[in-house]
Amino acid sequence: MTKLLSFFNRYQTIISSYIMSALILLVVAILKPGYTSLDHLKVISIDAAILGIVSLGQTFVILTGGIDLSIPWILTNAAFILTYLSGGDNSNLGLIIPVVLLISTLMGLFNGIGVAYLGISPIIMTLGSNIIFQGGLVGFSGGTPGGRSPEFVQYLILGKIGGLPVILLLWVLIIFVATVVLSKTPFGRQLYAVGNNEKVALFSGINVKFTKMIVYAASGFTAGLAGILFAGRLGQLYLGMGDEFQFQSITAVAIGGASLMGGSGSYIGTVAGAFTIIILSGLLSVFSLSTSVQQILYGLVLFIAVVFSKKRGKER
Amino acid sequence: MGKPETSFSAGAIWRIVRGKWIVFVPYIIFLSLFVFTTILQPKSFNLNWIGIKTDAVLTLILVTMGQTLVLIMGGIDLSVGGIICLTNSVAALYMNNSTGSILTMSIAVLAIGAFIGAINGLIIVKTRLQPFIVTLVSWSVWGGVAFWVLPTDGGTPPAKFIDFLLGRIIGIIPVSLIIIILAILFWLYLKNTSFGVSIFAVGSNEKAVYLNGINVDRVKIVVYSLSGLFAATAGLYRTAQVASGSPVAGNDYIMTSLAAAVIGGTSLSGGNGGIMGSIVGAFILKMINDILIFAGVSSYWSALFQGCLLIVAVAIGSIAAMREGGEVYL
Repeated sequence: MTKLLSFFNRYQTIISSYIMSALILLVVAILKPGYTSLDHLKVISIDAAILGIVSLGQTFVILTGGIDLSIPWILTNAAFILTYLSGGDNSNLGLIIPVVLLISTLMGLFNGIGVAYLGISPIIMTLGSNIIFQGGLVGFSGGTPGGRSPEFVQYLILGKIGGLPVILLLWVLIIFVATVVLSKTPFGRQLYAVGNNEKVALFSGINVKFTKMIVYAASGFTAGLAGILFAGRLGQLYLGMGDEFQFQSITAVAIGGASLMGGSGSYIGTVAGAFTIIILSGLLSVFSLSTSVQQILYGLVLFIAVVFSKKRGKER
Repeated sequence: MGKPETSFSAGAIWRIVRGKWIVFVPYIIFLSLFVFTTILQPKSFNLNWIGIKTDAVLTLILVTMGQTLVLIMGGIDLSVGGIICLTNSVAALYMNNSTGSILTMSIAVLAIGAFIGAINGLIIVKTRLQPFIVTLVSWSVWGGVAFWVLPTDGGTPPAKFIDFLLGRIIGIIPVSLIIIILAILFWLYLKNTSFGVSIFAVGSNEKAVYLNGINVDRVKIVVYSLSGLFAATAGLYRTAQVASGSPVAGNDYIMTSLAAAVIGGTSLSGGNGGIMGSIVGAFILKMINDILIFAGVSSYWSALFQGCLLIVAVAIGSIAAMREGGEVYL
């Protein structure tokens, strides 16, 4: 009975996230009819997919009670390494994409080792590594990297299989796998256990340090994957292309109902969070609001989401 | 467990030093770097040269002072970035070249900082959310307001204001050096007051402090206000030092203020540290930067070195803590 109730509670959290997202979309639809055309909804979905993929790693990390602030420059590094190695050419992508994903996973692993085995607090570790990755990329490229992303990567965004954008199919697959991993595998249960109470998790035989290390590596991987996709979305890269994802990924997870203390949340919720943020930023651009208002609004949305998820945590 | 040491022998001194060796590390690094820089540039060493260095590092020192108090209390303040952005923008834009305007604007800017800090503290206390997330939101919001005040870099702060803060008293003693000495005196006074002690106490064991009847919430609100105030002084000083305003001026100071505090020996888990160390930490960061520039390393790399320093410093502290007291759960 209690199991059913807690399941319903979790379900309720996710539903309310989706309702929130739908409500904002409705507001936009009334204010600006063209914005909700089928074509534009596809654009929204593509942006939401990229944010959603970044936020998958962030969800894993936050479930264990950590935080990953290094996403922006892992993502930017992945995008630039991709264009640098490929030279905008399709020919060696079969080798280059795995290499890029490996490098970004190693960057995440660096965070993981620091947090799990050296006991560095996640905020400091990832804030520091973000600066390191930034300095590394800017230093190696002499401050002016450039480049176009290869055609194939742009195809991942623009191309269609059976009328649906390739990236959406990829995302649906990722959502499916992530949800199965979180709810049906021992690894998923370990994430929740570590996030709820590290000591209890340790005494029940979970390798807490290893679990914590792996989530950061996973976050590096998803940031790298998103970097490749975002490179395709942009076509032309620029430094600072990843900056927005730092705040947005945390906000997406928070809107999705996860507790930033760790131990509760779901990827399905984060997906709603990603949609909410993308629709919201669309709303802001409809009114051509400045960076100033956007930044203030993002802050307030994160705050409200966190307060709500904390309240829900108390009620449970 | 041995018998108590009564005589003041070399052995006793060694034991004291050995137990607390880590406290001296930042000072030793500072001195070595100082000697190293003077050897690199022997001719330029005089009071004016020191003034140039203290002018350049004072902004970081000021923001780190507040950050240090927050860290000692077991919190973290990411909003200093937003506060510096905002105060720098406001000061650069609205200050006129009259003593009255300079004074009122300076006081107004400091009040803004303290006010923002107080809001942070109040929200942290009332909502019981993590300080990290509250100050992250605050950074975003006030950084946004800074963009609203000053959309692009600009503003011309009055010459009088710049001349005073970057000036030399009686022609030789740098104002920035005097501010640093005042900061040290402030710290030596503060840490022995009951309020200063309660900051440390809240950082080491909040529950025990609460059970002892100290108003933990009040301590927190005051410390976050102080952090906001110090960030505002940093924003104000940056206005004079750079002679311009920027809506993104503060963002770099989040990481560097944490790095300076940690390199200076302040623990991230609370209850330990001090502003003296943070001042030394800020100088260490600055001198390493100078040496890199002197060695011809591109300034693009300096962020990387600062990030590495932060992580290494935290790792050393954390590993030392692990060896001392079993495992660390963070």
